[in-house]
Amino acid sequence: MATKGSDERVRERVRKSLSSPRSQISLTIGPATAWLLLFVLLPMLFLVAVSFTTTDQYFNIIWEPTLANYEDLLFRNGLAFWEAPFVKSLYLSYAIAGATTVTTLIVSFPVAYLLARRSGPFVKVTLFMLLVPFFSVFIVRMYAWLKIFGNNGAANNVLLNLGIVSAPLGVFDYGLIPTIVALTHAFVPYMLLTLYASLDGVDFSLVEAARDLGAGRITAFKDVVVPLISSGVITGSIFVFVPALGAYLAPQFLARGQFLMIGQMIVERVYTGYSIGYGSTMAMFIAIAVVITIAILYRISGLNEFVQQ
Amino acid sequence: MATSPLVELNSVRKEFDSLVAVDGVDLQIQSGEFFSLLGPSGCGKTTCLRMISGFERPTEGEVLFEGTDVTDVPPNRRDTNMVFQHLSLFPHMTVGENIQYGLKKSGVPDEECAERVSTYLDLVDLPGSEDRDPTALSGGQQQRVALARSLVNKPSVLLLDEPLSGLDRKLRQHMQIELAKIQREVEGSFFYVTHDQEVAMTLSDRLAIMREGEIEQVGTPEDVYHNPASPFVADFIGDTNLLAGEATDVAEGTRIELEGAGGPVWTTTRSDVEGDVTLSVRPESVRLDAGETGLFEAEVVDRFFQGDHVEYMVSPTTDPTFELDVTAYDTEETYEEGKTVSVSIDESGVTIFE
Repeated sequence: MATKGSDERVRERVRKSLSSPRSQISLTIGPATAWLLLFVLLPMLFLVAVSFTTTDQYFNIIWEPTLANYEDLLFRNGLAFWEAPFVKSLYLSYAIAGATTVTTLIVSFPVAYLLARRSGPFVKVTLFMLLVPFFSVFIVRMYAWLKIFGNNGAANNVLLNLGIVSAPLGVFDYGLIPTIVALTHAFVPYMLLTLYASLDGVDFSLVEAARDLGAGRITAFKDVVVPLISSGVITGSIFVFVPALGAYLAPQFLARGQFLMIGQMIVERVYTGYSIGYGSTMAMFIAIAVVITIAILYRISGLNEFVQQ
Repeated sequence: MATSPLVELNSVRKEFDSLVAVDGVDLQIQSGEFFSLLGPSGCGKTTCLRMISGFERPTEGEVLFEGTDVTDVPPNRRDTNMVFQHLSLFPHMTVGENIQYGLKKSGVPDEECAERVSTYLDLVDLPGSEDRDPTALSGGQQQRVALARSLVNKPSVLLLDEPLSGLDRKLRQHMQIELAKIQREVEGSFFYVTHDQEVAMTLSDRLAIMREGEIEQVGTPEDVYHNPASPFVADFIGDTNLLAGEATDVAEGTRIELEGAGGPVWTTTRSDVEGDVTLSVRPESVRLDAGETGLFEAEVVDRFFQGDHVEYMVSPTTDPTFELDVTAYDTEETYEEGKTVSVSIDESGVTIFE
């Protein structure tokens, strides 16, 4: 009897401690937090640490803090900061990732809008059909673009054979445009699904309410739809922008060495130069660039207010 | 020529793909009246409302505002404002921003906006709520904000799409009274669409009953109640007994055998009907008494005590398959189930349809 009583007491104590707000919080968000600490924050800290080191001739990290990587990246060969090859590549990557974000938004929005205005099996079937191509391996899709673009690529050949052009079109030649097209193709699903989720939550009778109160079609859209989906647009943009910034395969296949995006530079450094510290330093710049971008988006979109609610 | 009605639907027809939602509707709404369009769900009443507001374009026919054809005018350029069924308050704006939205769109200066917002918040009994979040308000309060948001623009006609249907009974009755009060105060014209005959009867100056895309009857609530144009109207507006009968012309008027030959016989002085007829008999026009002075004898099948009145269901002793609803306002002397009573029918509550 006595043991049973103490059992009860123990059980009671456990129940009490489990039902306290603090323990409930740790039970619910604890595992995720542990995961993030172990696999996101720790590697990130390691990256920061490594960026301040160099490697010896056997490619071992020399654990001595140095600014050598940073100096070399930013002021290589005594060039001004903004003329350093790495900084130029950073701008370019930014521009390409930005353009990709804009094009994915333009491509996805009408589709997401149409789907949000409809309901039933049509939506499910269409979404599935739209996503099927993305079940194929990424590199296969990049090969496909490789074949389509280029001076002798499929796009130019079709136009030449149809007699629409008499010489191969420059825009189809490897470089900036094919890279952006391929990246857009690669990241459309992220934007599409995020936008669809966001638009699907919009009560479109609000648009009618705005129209009824004297707003034209465009004004009603701007006043009602835009504010209600802005957080979705920001989220989708981050999902596209961040991976596009560090893209490697797409520019490798479709820029054909005309320029190097930061991702390519990092790979080149780490694999060819065996310089882990140097690569980490570059990765640091990507991370900083991403944080700054998100902070700006966060500020202009009023996402902070949204999160507070 | 008399002044044109405020809003006029002229043989309006609306088809959605193969479905005919509205089939040749003519309606006139006069300035300053509270007009209800009443009908069961799916009868096309909301489509009519949306054609007046400009969200739907009639397939045929025209919509006129004070004699001017507005069929092709978009909703934002029509002098109407709508209270939506689900209110559709902008969730990302404050109460004040919601209400002033229409004013801003028509270029009213800030100061005047603020002034009018505050006036209309007073009108709907929510003074000083400008900075509140509409999503944090109760259903009744949201209702008032939606009303203020539309009324603040002083529309020539305010369109209401069953906005009270989401409220519980008590609140709905309260809002009904408020709505009537507000309509008198702003002296505006209200066009109210509903399936709730109680709301329509209480509020309307005139109402129209719609069925399967067509208007069955237009009139004042009293008129429609006492002189329904069809059995459908009689049944839809208030409670009624619809009885089949056979009429024969006799010297003193018309003799009607109810529910076929051998049933109770009712005689009326109205003498213009003959053949198969349908009778609408209002429950309150049926009288029961203990004597034998009535039209026929019946047995009380059910009795429901309602406080201020008693509802009975009675069946003639000669034909138990035939049932009649009766409302009695005498709650002192009631009849138990199984009791035999004498039934008489007051002619004022009877309408005969051929």
